[in-house]
Amino acid sequence: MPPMARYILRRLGHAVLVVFGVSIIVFLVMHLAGGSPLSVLLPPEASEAERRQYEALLGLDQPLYVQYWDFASQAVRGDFGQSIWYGRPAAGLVLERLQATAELAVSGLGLAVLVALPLGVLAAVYRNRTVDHAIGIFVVLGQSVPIFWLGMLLVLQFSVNWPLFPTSGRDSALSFVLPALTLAVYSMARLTRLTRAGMLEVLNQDHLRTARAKGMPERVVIFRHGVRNALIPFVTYLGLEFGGLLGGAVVVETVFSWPGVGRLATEAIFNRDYPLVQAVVFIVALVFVAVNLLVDLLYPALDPRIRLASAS
Amino acid sequence: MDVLPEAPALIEAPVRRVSKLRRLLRDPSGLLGVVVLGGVIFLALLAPWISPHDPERQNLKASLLPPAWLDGGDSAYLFGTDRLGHDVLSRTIWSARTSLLIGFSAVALAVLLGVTIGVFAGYVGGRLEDVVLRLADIQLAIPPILLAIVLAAAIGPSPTTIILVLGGTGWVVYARITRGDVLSLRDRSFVKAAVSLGAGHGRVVFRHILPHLVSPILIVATIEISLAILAESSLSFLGLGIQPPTPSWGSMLGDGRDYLASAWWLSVFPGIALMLTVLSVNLVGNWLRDVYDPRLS
Repeated sequence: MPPMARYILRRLGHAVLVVFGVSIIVFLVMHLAGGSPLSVLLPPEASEAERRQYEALLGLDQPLYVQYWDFASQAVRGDFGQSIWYGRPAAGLVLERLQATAELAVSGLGLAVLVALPLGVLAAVYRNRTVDHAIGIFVVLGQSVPIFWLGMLLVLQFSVNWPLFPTSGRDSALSFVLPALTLAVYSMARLTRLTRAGMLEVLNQDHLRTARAKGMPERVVIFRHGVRNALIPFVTYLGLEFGGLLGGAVVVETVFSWPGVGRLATEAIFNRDYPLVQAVVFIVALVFVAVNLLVDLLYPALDPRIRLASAS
Repeated sequence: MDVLPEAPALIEAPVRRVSKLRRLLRDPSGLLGVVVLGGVIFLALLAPWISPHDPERQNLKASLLPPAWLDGGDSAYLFGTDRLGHDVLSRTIWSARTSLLIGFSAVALAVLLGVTIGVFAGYVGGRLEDVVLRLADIQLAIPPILLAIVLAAAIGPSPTTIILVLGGTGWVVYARITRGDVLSLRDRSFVKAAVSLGAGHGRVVFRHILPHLVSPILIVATIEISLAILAESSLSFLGLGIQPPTPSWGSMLGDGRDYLASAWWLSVFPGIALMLTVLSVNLVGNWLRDVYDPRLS
């Protein structure tokens, strides 16, 4: 088998394994939740016989592994059961909302990258100088601010005091600005720090010293030899960061009443809508695994060393 | 010349100890972090004696009073009151207890779990190691906040739940560090020497391996405390963490959100307290990293 095919197959197998594990965790946690949508479906005065009947109807009287098998075999076909609250297929509800979250996460991540890359490079090039210290302060502040609080302050200032942007909702391009900015701050600090560390590592390497010794202008050294190499770990990290952003979106969506999966999840929990919670967590994890798989598959294209390593 | 081999050991220890303190004094941000964090811990410990009111006592006659220095403010309520007439200042002080307790306990639990798992994985190796690594991947595939939200909802919100959830989901990072270090230490000559002198597994792990893990774990754990405090406040903000009337910055901010336009003080003061606390923990973490692992700075 050609080495690239083996690399791809191994990554695919790994992803399948992770998805299988996630399905077990999601199933067990929901089971831990009492597994009793009965308390929502049935009135409190329901008799024991009625309870039994409902349990049998929903398969809750079966052994755990049978219940898991039912759940998994339906999930594979994209069926997560009916949302108790909405009375519609849970998977469909999640997919509808996923777009809103994806828009938010992608614009947040894009904004974060646009700010973090130049800042990180700048901090590394001017290591231990004023610029680096100033960027360091920005990074530690960004890491310390609770994003839901930042979102509230932004609303207070830019929606209430100066009515420039809507306080909530997803109606116009303007309603994007504050939520995307809030979510971006979440990643900006970490990505800046990562870029700086990556650049510092690259800047110390021999081939850069050689490039300088040849008399190559510093600008070319930094951009052609430095940034390009520093970008490689950066790309892997973006995949991981995406998962953090999906988590951050839960909170940001609540602050801005953004109709995404995060708010869907919290609402579903308050409504004890277990099939919907199950669907949200599972589908979000699936998206995350897919993004990371994509990054892993893109990786050899960026870094020839990986191609060589997988060939040997 | 024959003195040389001993000399480094004789000089090194005292010099290093002095320089850590010196480095703290010379590092203004680290010093700031230590001072602010010390202040927050101090306030948390003394909360029962210094907070002007009972944080859980309602006073509906004093509902939504602005801070004392504004028109309509009452000097008895420096930071104003919330809808139920709770004193915002008292609740802000008491919340420090909640957040620090949960942050420290959750990370302690995660360290305990992670280091134990990591030592077993690295020391025993083989199939166990594979299983642990796969488990870590699976855990990382679910965004932690989402997992915490679902678990908190499943077990029911309480401080203990939050500690268990954040501790139980935070082990991966320590397990990875520990496993990596154990793998490299296991084959070092001093460990092999101890084994060949007849040291048992327990002695090797506790006397020869774990001491080397203290500083890398400490650095990561400090940063993770700030993340745990943020996670707790996020959960409480969403209504899935600390439940009223127990004071918590997150739940105060969750309440404040409904009064953002009319009573800004409900959102601003607890937010500043939360941010200062997280900031100070991060500054201390950065300082520890600079002192113990200068390569990373």
